[in-house]
Amino acid sequence: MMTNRFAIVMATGIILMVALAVACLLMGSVDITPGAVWNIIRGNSSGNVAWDIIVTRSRLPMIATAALSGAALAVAGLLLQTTFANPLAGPSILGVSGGAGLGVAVVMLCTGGAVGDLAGLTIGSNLSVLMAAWLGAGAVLAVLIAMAGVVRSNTMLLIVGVLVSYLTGSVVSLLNSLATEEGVHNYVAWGFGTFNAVGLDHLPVFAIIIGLCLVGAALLVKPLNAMLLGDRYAANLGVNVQSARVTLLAITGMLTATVTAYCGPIGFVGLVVPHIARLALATSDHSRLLPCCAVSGACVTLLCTLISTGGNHGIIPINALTPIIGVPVIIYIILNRRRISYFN
Amino acid sequence: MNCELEEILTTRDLAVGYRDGKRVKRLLENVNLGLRSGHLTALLGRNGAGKSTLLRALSRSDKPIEGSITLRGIDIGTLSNAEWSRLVAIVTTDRIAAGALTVTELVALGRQPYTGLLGWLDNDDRDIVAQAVNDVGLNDKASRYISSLSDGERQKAMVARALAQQTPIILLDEPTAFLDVASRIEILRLLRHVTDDLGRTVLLSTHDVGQTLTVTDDLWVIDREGRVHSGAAHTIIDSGVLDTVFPNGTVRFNPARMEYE
Repeated sequence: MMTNRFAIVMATGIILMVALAVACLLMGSVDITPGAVWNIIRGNSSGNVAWDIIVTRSRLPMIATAALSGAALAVAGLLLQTTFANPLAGPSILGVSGGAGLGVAVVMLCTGGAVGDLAGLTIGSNLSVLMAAWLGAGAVLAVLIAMAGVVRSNTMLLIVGVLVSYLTGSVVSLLNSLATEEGVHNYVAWGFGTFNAVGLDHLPVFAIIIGLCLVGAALLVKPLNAMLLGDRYAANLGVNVQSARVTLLAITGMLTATVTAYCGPIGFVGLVVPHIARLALATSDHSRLLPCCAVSGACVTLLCTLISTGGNHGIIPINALTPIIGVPVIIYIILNRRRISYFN
Repeated sequence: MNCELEEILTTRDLAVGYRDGKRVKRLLENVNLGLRSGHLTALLGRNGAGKSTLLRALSRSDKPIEGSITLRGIDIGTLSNAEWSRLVAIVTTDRIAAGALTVTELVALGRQPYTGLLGWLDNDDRDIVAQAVNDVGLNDKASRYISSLSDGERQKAMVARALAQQTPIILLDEPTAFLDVASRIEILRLLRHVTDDLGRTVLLSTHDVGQTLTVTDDLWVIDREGRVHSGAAHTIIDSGVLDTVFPNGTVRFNPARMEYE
């Protein structure tokens, strides 16, 4: 019965993900006929060079970026919620995205670029920006671990995370006052969240990093499940709790930082999707939650992408959409927490 | 487990306590105890006497301040995590976040020391889990969520999880706290069954003296001076040590009724 539910949820999720991806491919500010899109995907030309470029250089990388980012942020959120034993933890609310953004800002401004303009860089300097993002996210995670030992209250830790977010945000803004006008524009666009910035050239690096992190997370489902029982039980089951926690947070930091560096600080996905997965599967078992989070996360970001770029309107920022999906889910969960089994 | 008199877990000159900043607060000192193999032992003491702290040291959750703890002659600090997880299982009062696991899934976590990287269960593991669920009498609730269980049933599920870990020793911190009288008696009966029929060595801490005295083989009693007395239950009861558990002049132990008054 349990496995059945998992199969049904995963199948539904994958079908939805593919449908959303196809919709994103077909819909956009430029009308391209489905037949032409199909031709382009198969490697032929549609006869319209502009269409060829839009599909292969813009829509396809955007879809791949959105799906990978959604999966990455959702899994990062799940890992954070379990390692901090805090159902309201998430990469943006805890300031991990903010830390990554600060890292990006420092390097880009030092090298004369502008925040959020990674696609304009060579792969080499790109890696240094990514490294800075990882360091920034890692620094925030280190602060959170240290604070978790002192404050011992889940709510307080969330507040610390929110404060760290504000702080990193204001430092980035201060740094940006040194930037050029174009730089500021880029930074603002980056802050809105976009899946358009990776581009075909950088997509392989982006995909490989996120793919490896997701595989790494999947290999840690056993300690994650043990940690549901708390540190003492986990240690008693043979888990080296300290090293498991550091590894899990390193993966979380890498996932969040990589997405943030390219796409901006995307809110709510990491916080909300693990709850959607738990409600859909009705389990706390990470061996099922983790793949479900990856697929559901991709669905959420693809849906946002579709709304963002799919109409005849201008582009709607991703961060204007994620709260509209996220906040109702969180409020539903808070209102029903007595009834939802994983809280009790 | 074969030799009734064998001491499976031994403490020598053990001091336990906690660190408060730089200061070390010692709760118990010069503790020399032996947990007898195949026996059910209860650790008694008033609240705050150091029961949990002693148990945390014995379960390797905290390092002792001084002295040593040996398991069959081996210092427990020198055992690897993997070895330790197959020797001692714990049941604590810690809050768990496993409400959306079924009883079977929770008990299956006890198999982690034996499963591979991804924690997949083989047929033997599944049999052991089913047996453990059966041993604690939760057969008919095996696929129910933990969140839907009563406190007593939840505690039984945690005992089943410890059984599935297949360790010779099970340590339980206040397993009957927060339970009503009927559940308390059921849990103690279950622990008797675990000792007698499943051959495990069981140590539980409790401040609930009444029900405990009649079911245990041995007692470890922390008196009001912080000394730990140990021995067979009837010897301890006859010795009058139980009168020294609570502050002078508050309550006395009545051996005829087996309770404080």
